[in-house]
Amino acid sequence: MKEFEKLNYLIARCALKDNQAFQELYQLTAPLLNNIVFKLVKNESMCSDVLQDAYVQIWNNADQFTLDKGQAIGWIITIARYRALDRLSKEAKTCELTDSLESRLTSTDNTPEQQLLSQEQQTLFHHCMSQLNDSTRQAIRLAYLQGYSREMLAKMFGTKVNTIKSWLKRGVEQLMSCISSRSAGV
Amino acid sequence: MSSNDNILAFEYVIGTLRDSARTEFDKRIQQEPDLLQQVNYWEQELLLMQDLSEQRPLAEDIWPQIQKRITKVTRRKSVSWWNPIALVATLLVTVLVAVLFVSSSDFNNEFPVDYVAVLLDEQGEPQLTAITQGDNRKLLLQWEALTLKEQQSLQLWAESRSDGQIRSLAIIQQTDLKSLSLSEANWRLIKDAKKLILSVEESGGSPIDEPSEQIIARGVCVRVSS
Repeated sequence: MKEFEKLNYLIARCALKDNQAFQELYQLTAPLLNNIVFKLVKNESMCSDVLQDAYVQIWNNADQFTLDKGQAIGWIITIARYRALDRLSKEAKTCELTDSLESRLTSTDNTPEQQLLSQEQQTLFHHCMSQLNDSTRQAIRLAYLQGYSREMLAKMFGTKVNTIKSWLKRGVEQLMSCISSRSAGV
Repeated sequence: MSSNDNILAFEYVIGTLRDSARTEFDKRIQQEPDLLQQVNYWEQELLLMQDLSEQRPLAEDIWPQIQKRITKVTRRKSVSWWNPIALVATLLVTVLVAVLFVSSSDFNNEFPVDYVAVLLDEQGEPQLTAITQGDNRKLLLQWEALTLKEQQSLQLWAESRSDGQIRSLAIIQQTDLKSLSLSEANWRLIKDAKKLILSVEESGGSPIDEPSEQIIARGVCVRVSS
């Protein structure tokens, strides 16, 4: 997205401990991270703690960001997601499974503006995701976007944890194979 | 990369690897570059599932809390110019800035950055970033919030890598100056500079052609392009 183009520069300034740049980075990215983290932890106070941890880490580790780590927004999102996952592990958070599967996936299935990488890469990735069977695809999305553990997925799909593990295993293999073969132009 | 490790990397990224298994995997990532590379691969790919247009309003108290936490750490970590660790860190960061500045709108993206110096004050805060691009004999400047009193000038100096001498590059009257045209002699000074130094002088510049005791910032000068 165009508004994130300045992030490389802002991170570099943060590495120099430029607090004004840090504030600008926060204003630019925090509403997005707030959305991502809240979907994972589903709790306002926990979300606030995770955001604080994430931004302190961004500030402290800004000098470790290099362009080979991918796009700056990706680096920032990854930090926030991992802090959220740490928190989920710590709290042994269990998600309330009262919503239907359909309603949980509604907000995440339409992804019209995923502009992290080139259009080509996005098309390829979404093509490969679409090749997975419905359950596997949904399980991956629920885990990645909404913080579902294997146990929660098993409960959601009314199956065993081992079955979920098999779905994920198959999903990884199929995704990897699809992305590699398509990237190689096969 | 074994198939099992690939699955673990994938589950680590999507978050289904939890508790002790996650901690164990975390330790392995630190020690096994291939595994880290695979984690990075899945991070990049799966990020495409994220909808970047979705935002959620923020609670107002988050930013002040972050500020409180980083201020404590920054104060504890405050370093002087002469701390060797700080100098190495500054050097690394300077290179990072140079590489990343290319994408900044403040500088001309048509030319590669050749030399860069980020001049820090005693608290380690950046005050001035100076960059040369191509052979256009210009020093591009980006200032932080520096103010200059009446009857004062700033003077920019280059410390030579070859003989250690400090020589004047320019006398600066206002801190919104965006660029300096360099003479052939000053261009050579930049190319040979180990450090750039910014001092406060009486109006018109140093009468003795040496920096005053009021050095407000300095930074290593790094050549970025070959």
